[in-house]
Amino acid sequence: MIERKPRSSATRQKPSWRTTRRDFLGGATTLGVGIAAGLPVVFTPGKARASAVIRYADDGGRTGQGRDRLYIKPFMSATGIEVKTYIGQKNLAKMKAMVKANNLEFDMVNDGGSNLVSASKAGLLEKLDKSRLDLTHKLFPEWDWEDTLAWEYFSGGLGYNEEAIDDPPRTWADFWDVDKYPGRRGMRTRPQYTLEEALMADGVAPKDVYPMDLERAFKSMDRIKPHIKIWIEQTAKTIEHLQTQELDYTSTFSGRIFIARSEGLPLNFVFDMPNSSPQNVGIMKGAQNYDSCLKLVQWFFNGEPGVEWFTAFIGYGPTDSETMAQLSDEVKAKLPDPANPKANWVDVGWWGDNLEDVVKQYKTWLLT
Amino acid sequence: MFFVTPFLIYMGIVFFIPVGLILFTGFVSEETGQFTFEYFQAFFTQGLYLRVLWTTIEVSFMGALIVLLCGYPIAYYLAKQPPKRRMYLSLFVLLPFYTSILVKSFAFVVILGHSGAVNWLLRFFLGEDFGVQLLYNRIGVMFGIVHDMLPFIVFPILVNLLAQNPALHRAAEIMGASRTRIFWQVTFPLSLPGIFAGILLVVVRVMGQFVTPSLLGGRTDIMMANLVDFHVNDVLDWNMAAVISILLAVMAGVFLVALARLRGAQIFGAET
Repeated sequence: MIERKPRSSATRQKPSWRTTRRDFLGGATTLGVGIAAGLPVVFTPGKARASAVIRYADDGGRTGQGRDRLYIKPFMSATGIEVKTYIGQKNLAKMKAMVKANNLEFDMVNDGGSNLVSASKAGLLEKLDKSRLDLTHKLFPEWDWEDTLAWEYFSGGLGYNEEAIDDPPRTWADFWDVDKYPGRRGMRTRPQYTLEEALMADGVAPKDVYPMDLERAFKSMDRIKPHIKIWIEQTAKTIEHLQTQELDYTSTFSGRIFIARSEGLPLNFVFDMPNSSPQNVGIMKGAQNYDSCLKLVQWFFNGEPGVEWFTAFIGYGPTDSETMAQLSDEVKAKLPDPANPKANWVDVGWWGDNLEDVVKQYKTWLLT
Repeated sequence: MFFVTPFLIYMGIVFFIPVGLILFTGFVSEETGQFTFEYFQAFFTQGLYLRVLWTTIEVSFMGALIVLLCGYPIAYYLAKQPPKRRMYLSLFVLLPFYTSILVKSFAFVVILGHSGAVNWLLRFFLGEDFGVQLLYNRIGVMFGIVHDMLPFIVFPILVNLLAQNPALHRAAEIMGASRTRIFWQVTFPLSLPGIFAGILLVVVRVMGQFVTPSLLGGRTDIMMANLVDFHVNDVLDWNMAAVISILLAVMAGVFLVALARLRGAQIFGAET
């Protein structure tokens, strides 16, 4: 049904695994490495292969519950297709282990674009049959892949505590200017977004960020390094540090800030300098109910729930221009405008190709 | 032997086979299927790995030493208490076990953070500009480790102190030794096996940690286990993840053997 085409662009592509012994090794190795790393890796046997059910993997949490209410339940009643939501580990390692062992626990996955683009490069996803998808009003032509689709985007950028700071930096150059803005700063221990910020602080226009001039980015990072109070590993901690006023401002995500605001915390987000990334859906290699999955892909991309979803979860934006047009101005004001020249659109493909090298360089830089 | 068979089967399936596969993944090339040292070579020729290796060793031993300094007096005090009281007090030693590090890291901010209690007191007495950075650096990591690991050092030492023959102390007392001298010449040397056992437990456990350092540490506090996580989950380089896991296991093993040599069978309580 679906042809397996060799992917020439994949830099981290592994040879295909043939024998059952190796299939077993793949799964068992994850288990072993997982145990060694103290990670809970649990293997449960997959359900009957021929079922008409879509097993759909989601993050859970607040946004997951929102998707369940606004997307999944209406999809089931509209199409009669049953969707079983899987909430649990669904990172690259898990996907690789499932595909190698030919034992899927979910058929479809909703995850950050960079993860799914990496999964696609590793050959873990089915090709999406674009002839059967309606992508007429797709925004962001640069986010275009054969086997995964961006259905929304979310924005990284500067968050701050309104009680501590009246006037936050409005450009990355200002964030780098520690005399003009003396507050306590946080940055991330991951290079994604951070190096983009460094380049923009150094005067690179968002449209020229990729391919990244790493030398220039790290030089720019050298200048801000001594002024960073906390290097943050986990995204949830960015909000916590702002809340406890350990930090005055830090790189974070607008969606997180607005969830915190809805809970009454005095946090805000600077919209003038966002880095926006796609959130994708993809169908796992070997999924048996491909046709139904494709319908759910379409539903996420431009289904009716879009307007309600993007209104309920401020900070997340559609990748379909018709859905975008239906949003209220108030909602749109809190989204990076695709036309804003100061907004950067993260090239997750570039990151997929360069992730390992850049992360190593970045971690080495952090250590010195 | 017969009665441990079910356990051995269990361990064989969930421990020895996976460990064997990790070894396999670390030594067998994914491209050719041949035995290879290339992944180990890659590890030892890259500055990042060596630095992280050193940080891991540094943090584990520094942590163990500080935990010992905090834990020994506690064990000593507990050993002097009547049994019932000792039991109640021991529960307090176990308290840190019951709280997740995620919650603890939040609580630490209230005490040690920029606007926390310690800094508030310092500012109150020493002036507005005064403040010490107690979190998000190596000091923060040490607070976390001491909090986590205290029971691992207190209990081995406590068991050892309780097993010491009271006649030795009485003999020293009768001979006119001061309490300090009794401690340094009788109690402390006799408690060395407990100390070593405790240090061993702490070092081995800290070597595999990564959540505490990443929550409470600074930019330089990257542990080997962070790299395992990165290679397994982010870049799918399971060969390198296996290499790092093997090296961690070897380091723990070498340490164990060295200690066993140093103290003979005493560590395991045979000759206390």
